[in-house]
Amino acid sequence: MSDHAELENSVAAYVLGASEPDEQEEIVSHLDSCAGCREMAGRLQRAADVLPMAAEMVMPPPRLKAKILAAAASSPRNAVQPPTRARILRLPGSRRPAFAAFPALFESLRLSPQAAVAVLAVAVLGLGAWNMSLSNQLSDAQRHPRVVSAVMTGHDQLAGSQARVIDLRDQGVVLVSFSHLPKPSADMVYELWLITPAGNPEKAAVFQPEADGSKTLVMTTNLRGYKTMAVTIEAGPEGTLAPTQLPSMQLAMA
Amino acid sequence: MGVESLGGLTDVELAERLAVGDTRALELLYERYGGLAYSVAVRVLGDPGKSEDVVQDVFLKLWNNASRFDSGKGSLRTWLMTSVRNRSIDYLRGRGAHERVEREIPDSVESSGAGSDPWREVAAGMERDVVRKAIDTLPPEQRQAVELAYFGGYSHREISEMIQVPLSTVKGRMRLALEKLHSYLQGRGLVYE
Repeated sequence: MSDHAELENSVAAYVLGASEPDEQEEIVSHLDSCAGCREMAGRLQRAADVLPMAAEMVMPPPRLKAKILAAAASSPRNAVQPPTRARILRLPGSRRPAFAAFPALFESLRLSPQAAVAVLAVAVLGLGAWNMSLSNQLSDAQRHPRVVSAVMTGHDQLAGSQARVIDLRDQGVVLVSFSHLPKPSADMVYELWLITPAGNPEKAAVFQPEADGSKTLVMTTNLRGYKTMAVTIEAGPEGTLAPTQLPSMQLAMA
Repeated sequence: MGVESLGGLTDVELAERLAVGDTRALELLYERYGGLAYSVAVRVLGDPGKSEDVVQDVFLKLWNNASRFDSGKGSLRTWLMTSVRNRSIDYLRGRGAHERVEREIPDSVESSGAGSDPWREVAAGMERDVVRKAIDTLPPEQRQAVELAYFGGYSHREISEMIQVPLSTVKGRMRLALEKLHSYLQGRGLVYE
């Protein structure tokens, strides 16, 4: 494709994301050098930019907002290094679990309730040493923990990788925040498994890390009833129905 | 200051707050655009569950990269919707997002102005009506080409094979359609020249 008329006729497809990968570079190069086509591309782009407004409005479920805000609050930007052992939420001077005191706390922090969920989880986890002194309350809370956090560390091909797992039991939400994941080889994906006490693996997520090796998964699930969380690298893009290799990252949960 | 008190801020101002880690700004942006983003994902994917994943990914990407957002290069809404559309198409085709070279934020200085959110919702509703009417004015074959490309994620070559018309005809239909849309929307003040 080198004829100007042909390139000019391809600009609309490019703007709509409908040009073939092998011709995109040629179109971009042409737009750099042809003021007329560049002007046309800008005009067509402005029309294409409003096409999303043509989609029929469908309201998202309310839980989506909560999931996004919880994941944002627990993203590496707001991360506080968690203890390596699970801690139980208790606030000073209160026998109530921290979640019961939540509204007052998030008001003082000026955070929305959803965003405050994960912030609170991480912050209170940092009170681990203080928490240890409250052995009576702790033993009670250990029987009915509301938020549990743990770190899953990689080995072998995932040596140096890590994932912070936060189980927000009251919310029925589990956050798994990975860091330093290497990019899997071509056509391979990461697969997260939840393994039952009987040893049966259940597929929980299939994902690719971001360019910086991070990835945050937010799952609406309950970890009770599972014994192990594990990560393997499997054939993409859909992953496999069962692990085909030993985990390179795992966490004992029971 | 609660979320409500940020309601008068422009998208650009909210993006600045995102960059310093203000979760209230993310909450407000979700309230402004979460519905539209989800609608676009559902339109492309036809699957509510996958649509949730896509919208979540895009808003988290915005959150994690807010400091790199350049308001001089385009509107936040356009960036969000383009990202949702692209990621939905990738999902549909089983491609990893890393395989797509993200389109640069369009070189326009379109900035959603401040205003109360009730007014913003009314304005958005009117804008949707105008866009739908604009698309309804297109000849069926042009509308089909645009919708298969934008919401279906098909390339012009695939569309050509699918509807069995020459590739150059498909390209021409796309171009004519976007030119007409621009003209219609410009006449109603939705886009500038």
